[in-house]
Amino acid sequence: MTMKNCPTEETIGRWFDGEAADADVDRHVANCTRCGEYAETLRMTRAALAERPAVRIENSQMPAYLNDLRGGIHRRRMWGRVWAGVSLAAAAVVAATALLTVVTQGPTAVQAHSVLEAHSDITGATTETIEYDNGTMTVWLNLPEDDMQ
Amino acid sequence: MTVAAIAWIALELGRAQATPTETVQLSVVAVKGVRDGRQPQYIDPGIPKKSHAALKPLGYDSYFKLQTADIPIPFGRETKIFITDVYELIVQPTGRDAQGRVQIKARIMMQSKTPNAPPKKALDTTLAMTPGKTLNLGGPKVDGGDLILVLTLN
Repeated sequence: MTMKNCPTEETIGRWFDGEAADADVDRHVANCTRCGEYAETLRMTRAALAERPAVRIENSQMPAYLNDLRGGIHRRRMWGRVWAGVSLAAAAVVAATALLTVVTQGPTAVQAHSVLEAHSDITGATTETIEYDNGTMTVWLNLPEDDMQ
Repeated sequence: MTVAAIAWIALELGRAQATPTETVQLSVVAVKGVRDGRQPQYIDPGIPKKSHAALKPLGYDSYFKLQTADIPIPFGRETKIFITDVYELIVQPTGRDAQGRVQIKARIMMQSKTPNAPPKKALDTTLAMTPGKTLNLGGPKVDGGDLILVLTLN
């Protein structure tokens, strides 16, 4: 059976729910694979819904129910604001760090000299590097008592 | 461009070696420091004032000017600077480090008292110098005092 002869899903749905008895639809669904599968889907859906009992709220329970409902909405809004604030703060920190990194990039001002190596070819002499309180750096040659001079 | 990429580029540019034709200005003030008991501390008027702060902590009673020089020194080549009949300063800038400091080899050569003997390296150093700040090399003996070289890169 070709699809173009199939009834609409609405028709099948009404037929399935008993709202429109139709012998032609009945015969078609029994012989059409596609429409048969759709009818089976309707059956499974209806069955799943039927398993869940509806919650019934008595009139006396309504005020408490509504308060609870409003409270839940408020809590969700509050936490939403908190998380939005945290996210905003985190984004601000990241942006500030990135900006600071970009602004301060490049060779940074160095505080002092460095003495990478110091020695003497004079026998018995030693060298030392001294940094004074005022920041003056000195490389000093200490000659032996009996230096060649 | 990401922040990491910007940082990497800045670092690589900082590490770039100076070209051989580049020079840096070196100021040398050669001084004799003497412990002669003079009070208050005496500093030769011929010694540039910018060097005073570098000399005072050394603790000598008197400082006398021997020689001054303010010359451009090329990267990758040795430059000889006369100090006294006995001492000569030889400097060679070799490059710049990532922090912008000039890496420089500096040695004080001393003429030997032994006839025909080659000069000796009295003090041989490799330095990373920050432009605008002074550094002292000192300790060899000169005529009743100690030789002090106040070096400044500009």
